[in-house]
Amino acid sequence: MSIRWPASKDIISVYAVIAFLIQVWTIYVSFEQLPAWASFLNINELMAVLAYRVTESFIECLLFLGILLVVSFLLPPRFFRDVFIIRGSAFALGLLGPMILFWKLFRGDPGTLMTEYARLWMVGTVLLASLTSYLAVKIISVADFLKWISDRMTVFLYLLIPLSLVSSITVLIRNILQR
Amino acid sequence: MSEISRREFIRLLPSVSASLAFTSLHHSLGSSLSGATTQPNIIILILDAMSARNLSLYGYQRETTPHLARLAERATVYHTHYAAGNFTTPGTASILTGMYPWHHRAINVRGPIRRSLLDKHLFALVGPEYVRAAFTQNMLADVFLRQARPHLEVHLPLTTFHLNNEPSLVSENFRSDPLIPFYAFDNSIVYYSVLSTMFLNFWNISTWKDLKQYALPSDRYPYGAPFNTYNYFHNDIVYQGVKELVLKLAEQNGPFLAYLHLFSPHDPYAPRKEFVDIFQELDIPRKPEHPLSAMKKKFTALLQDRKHYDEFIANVDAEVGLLFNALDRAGILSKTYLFILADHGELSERGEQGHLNPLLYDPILHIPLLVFAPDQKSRRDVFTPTSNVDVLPTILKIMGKDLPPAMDGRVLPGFGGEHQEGRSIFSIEAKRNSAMAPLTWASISMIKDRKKLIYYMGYPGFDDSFELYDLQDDMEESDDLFNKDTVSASLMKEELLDALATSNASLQLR
Repeated sequence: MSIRWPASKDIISVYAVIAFLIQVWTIYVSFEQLPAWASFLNINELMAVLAYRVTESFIECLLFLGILLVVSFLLPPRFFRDVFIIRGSAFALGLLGPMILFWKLFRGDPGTLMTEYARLWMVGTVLLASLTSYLAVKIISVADFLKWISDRMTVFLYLLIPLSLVSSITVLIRNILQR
Repeated sequence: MSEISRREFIRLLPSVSASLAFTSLHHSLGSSLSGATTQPNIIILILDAMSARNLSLYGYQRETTPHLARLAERATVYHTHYAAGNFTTPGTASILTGMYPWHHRAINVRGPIRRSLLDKHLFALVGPEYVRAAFTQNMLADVFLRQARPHLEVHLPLTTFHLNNEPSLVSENFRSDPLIPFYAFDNSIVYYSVLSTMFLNFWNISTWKDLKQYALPSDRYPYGAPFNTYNYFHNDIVYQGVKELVLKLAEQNGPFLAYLHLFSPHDPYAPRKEFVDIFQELDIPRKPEHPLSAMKKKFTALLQDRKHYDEFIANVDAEVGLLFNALDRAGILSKTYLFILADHGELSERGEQGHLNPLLYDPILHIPLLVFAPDQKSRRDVFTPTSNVDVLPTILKIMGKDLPPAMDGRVLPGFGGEHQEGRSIFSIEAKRNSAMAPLTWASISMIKDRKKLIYYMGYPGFDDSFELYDLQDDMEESDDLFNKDTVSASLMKEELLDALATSNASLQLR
């Protein structure tokens, strides 16, 4: 059975791409809001807000990776497992990049524009990500770039994983031990 | 007397139980529900953004409040009652703490009450001998209810009676930590929260699926359905839900405190069809645009907004009348003190519409207050200037409790308080000033007898400016007396600046 799963090193590389996009975006947005919060929340409360945000984004990263692993498990090994870094990184970049663009574009009018375009954008993004993932293996320079970038991004895990774990523990303490 | 369990209490509210959020009832309800008691119930009904200046009850030309006028024949009516802030956060926090905004420090949009006051607000001071229930449709006011949750037996989520009444706020899933997740996920959901996470945003989008449908004019709501910046709602459903909640609370043996903070007539003004176009045009004085006006709305547009606002008030008035009748028929009012008031008013002049501005003119501060005592049969009128900071001391007095010494408010005349000559009443707007820092960017108004001084500080290009009005001779605040009545101006300026300095100094000492 384990033969159908990608190597752990490959999983970590793809997770690094996912975590970089999702968690750095979350931290970026949180820091954008920080001046407003700082005017009425104390330092403990600010750290707790960030802990919730980081924990939520950590869960999103794990779920995203989980979906890729399920796809890898279901598809023939040569189609996904053997090129997990290339296909997984391409899919993450192809999906999360346009999503970040989407949130940036529609920040001004989420109530109307977002509801109108959200589903269309999501369908288009998934198609784009799938196409990117498919083509990435065919073009050697793209494949090499994806391997290179996913390898480089693993360095951020030294920051993001401890941050995620500390945040998760903080959230658990606030919700379980305080009952 | 056996204790009532959380599960049993939920069963007492079958019609709304699906969306109830109860606190962890770490303290027993047994004491509050055991045996008969002579303590009266308290109902606080807050009508968001209801300006006294637009109510026929207080002499407005349009007949906006025939029902309130009828009910007032059994109430104590306060004619010069003022909000302590010009929007929900400071205005509501002052009701709950009996303090001015420069003391409770809930001055920023979505800001909470100062943490050291968490055992000194309404719900804490009333104590567990009362069943304390709270519901608001206003997200800013819900911040305070989240802070107060350890002292609440019932806290209904703000979406309870809304059209999309699924538990759509992410933070509602964190029962034991209600406030911080609100900032993390739901804070200012319309503007920022949507950007906070990558996928969780779609949770919100799913709740907006009916947004367009409800926003569109319909036969029943020609201007679209009422909207609280997050959910659409119908006032008849909201008032029906609130009525059922109170009826259930009244079925208990013990006394209850019901805090009901309803969103209408807050903008967007969305009256039902039968209240649309019921008013004639008005002859309103045209006032020059204020230098701090950001909207810079034209006079004709302001007139149109005012008309819609008045129609919405008439709609709310009818709902309040029905609610009052139902509670009266059920016999609840014979053992209940009912407070009807607003958290702040509304402005339709000087280029500004609404209340999210730095202005402190009469329409935005002058609010209604009616207090119905149990079995009160005749009307009493009080013309002494009073403030929303007086509501909590009055409730405590009614309950026979001691008043905390740090409170700014005083017991209302008619309920044990006395008219005090020369009392100064403050209102403060400081949403751009940090709650943690002394006030340096704010508008402050001080009403003393018939005079009103307004001080603007910190605004670029409009710093250190004063205005003085005589509210008795010039209710429209058209004639600035600051450079004419120099004696009053000087005395009031000195007192206001002293009070500001004292509050700033006390903040630094903490």
